[in-house]
Amino acid sequence: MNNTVSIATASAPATVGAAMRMIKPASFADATTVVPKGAKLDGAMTADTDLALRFEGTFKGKVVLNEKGAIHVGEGAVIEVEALQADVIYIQGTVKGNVHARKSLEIGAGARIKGDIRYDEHFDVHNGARINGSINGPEGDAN
Amino acid sequence: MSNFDTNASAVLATEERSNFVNPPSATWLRNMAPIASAAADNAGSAQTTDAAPGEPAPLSPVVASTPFAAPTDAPRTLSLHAGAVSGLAPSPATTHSDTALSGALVKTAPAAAAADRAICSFPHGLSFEGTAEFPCDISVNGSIKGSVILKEQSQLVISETGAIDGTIRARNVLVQGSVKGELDASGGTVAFGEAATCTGSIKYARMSMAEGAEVEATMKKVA
Repeated sequence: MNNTVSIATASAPATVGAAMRMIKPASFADATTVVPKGAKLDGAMTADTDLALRFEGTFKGKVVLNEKGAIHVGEGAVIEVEALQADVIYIQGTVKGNVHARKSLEIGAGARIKGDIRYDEHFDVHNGARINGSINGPEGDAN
Repeated sequence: MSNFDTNASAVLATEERSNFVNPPSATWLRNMAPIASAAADNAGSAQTTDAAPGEPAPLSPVVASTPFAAPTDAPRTLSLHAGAVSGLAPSPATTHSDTALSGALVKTAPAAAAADRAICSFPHGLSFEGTAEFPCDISVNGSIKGSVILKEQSQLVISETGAIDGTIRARNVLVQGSVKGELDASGGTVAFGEAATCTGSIKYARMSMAEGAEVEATMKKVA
């Protein structure tokens, strides 16, 4: 066993459901699984009340939570969106499309993201995540 | 209306008993109870622990060959049993107490036994437009436009705040909110609560309707 091996494993896809380390668990304390494993939704989802949503299945379309809101894309979830928008977003699954977190964005180890990412306050990426696309955060030294 | 409240507990008692005799008959509505009361929106997993026994009545020709010989303590509700009325109920397991049960559950949705069936839910305040396919039971408290398709044997609850405009396909459907469009519960049960509104078309095998439900629909019995 040499060093290269351990490096290889480190970059291998991590399927472990590493816990959130930046986003507070309270954000998802009363989360509702709107797309359970095995479910397939295609369309636009919007909310004007503060909701915490969990995705475990397949979703295509658009998710826009206008008023606060938290989105958890679980491991195994496959989301293809023109927009994924909420205050707090935690991604462990696969997301294709543009992600905009108005507060915190955390990307878990098993996450696969293809698309542009925007976060307005906090950002955290776990080791093992793969991102293809641009990342835009707040400008300047504020925060 | 206080009649209903007192009756509800009696119903539950009846249900508990009949459960021993005839698991499938009482079950589907009983299983709906937790769904209805799970408006708490707290469904962690999609697994239904109870799937097999939760299947609706056709499996059980065992009991209740006399649908109208209700037990003396069976509560009376004003709900209409379409299957019984037409005399074509496909399953003899559709007893009087089942009918009554639906009425009572629709009204009171007892919070007891809330957790014996994991379901997912669609929270109040959320709206969705498009097509949705669910592998599990689901309780809709928000609004959905488009089509909602549940895998076979699954149960759909549309709560008082819930609204679906479009196409619904599910084995068993409990409507307490509003439904517009096509409701296809072929071979299954459709139950309307007192606050339910429905326009469009309905396919069902068994039906119950609480007093006050506003249903204006083309109905077709499809076993």
